Amino acid sequence: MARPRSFDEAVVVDAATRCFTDLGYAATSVDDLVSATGLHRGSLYGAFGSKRGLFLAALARHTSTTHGGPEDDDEQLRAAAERVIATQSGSTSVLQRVLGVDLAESERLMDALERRGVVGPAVATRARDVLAPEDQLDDVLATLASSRSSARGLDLLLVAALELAPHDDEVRDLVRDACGALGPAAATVLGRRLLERARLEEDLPEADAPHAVPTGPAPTTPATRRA
Amino acid sequence: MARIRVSDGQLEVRLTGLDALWALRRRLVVPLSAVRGATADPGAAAEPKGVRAPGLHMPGVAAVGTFHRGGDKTLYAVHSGRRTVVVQMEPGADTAGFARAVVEVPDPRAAVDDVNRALSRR
Repeated sequence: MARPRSFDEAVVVDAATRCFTDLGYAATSVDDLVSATGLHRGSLYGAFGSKRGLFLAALARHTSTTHGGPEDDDEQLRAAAERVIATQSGSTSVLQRVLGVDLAESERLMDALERRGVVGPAVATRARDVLAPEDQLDDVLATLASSRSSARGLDLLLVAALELAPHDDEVRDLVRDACGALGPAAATVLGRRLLERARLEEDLPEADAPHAVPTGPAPTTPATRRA
Repeated sequence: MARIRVSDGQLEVRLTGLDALWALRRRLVVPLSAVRGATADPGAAAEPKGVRAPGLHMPGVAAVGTFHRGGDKTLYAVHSGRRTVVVQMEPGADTAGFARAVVEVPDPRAAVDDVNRALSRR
């Protein structure tokens, strides 16, 4: 029989995650994983079955921490932000009524929105000023969603979506679940992380003229798809 | 050289040519339920292999046969090692005691995808 396990799975999976996010799935060799995790090849195979098994473990670990934390809270905050920005009204009592929460809770939500720059500070009991214009709704929602998951987790999700999901049903389901957990702004969160990872985030021109995007032939990338 | 085939809930590793002679084994058939995954892994051919019984071992040239190391029984059929696939199993009566097959196949990428696709459908 094989010897009993004597390693911390979480540490191993984190080391593997760094490999997968830095190099990509296909380019990560088992040799890379062996040297990153410090495990013997045999133990690695014995514990996870395959490179794909290890990737699935990493993905499960990172998407479940996306779920973690007070989810109701996030849900409420998102609903509050949506309501406040869409109606451009910072009234605490309206929020209280619409969301069906008590006064203390709606005050707390307003304070949370203030910290995120959505509304202005409270002045006596008057409705607060809404600082975020209506067209920034998507932006704000995306920021709220991405604050819940680490950059590393998003990178792993990007690798999964790009390299495995097109031809692997199980990974596609995991990616779908993870996107569901990110909420309606999932595409914005992932797209923003993709640019940030490419170190393009701050260089991008303000997208105030969407028609300025060149409409030439789509840039073709070398075929890196796995056969 | 070897071939990996998945059909009817079974995975078959068939040794071709002289490899079957050196290993004293033409094939290993295991139920998919005992298979944990497959990986294309050229580096696996260079690992210390352990004690052979029976088999052929010319380090750097070829390793073909049954090898025992660290309590694991492994079926090797590697030559250059460039197209090596590792199939990890749950060792037991189903797998004739084998924990792993480390074999070279003509198209490692296709073999790995076949096995893992069959496993995710299970």
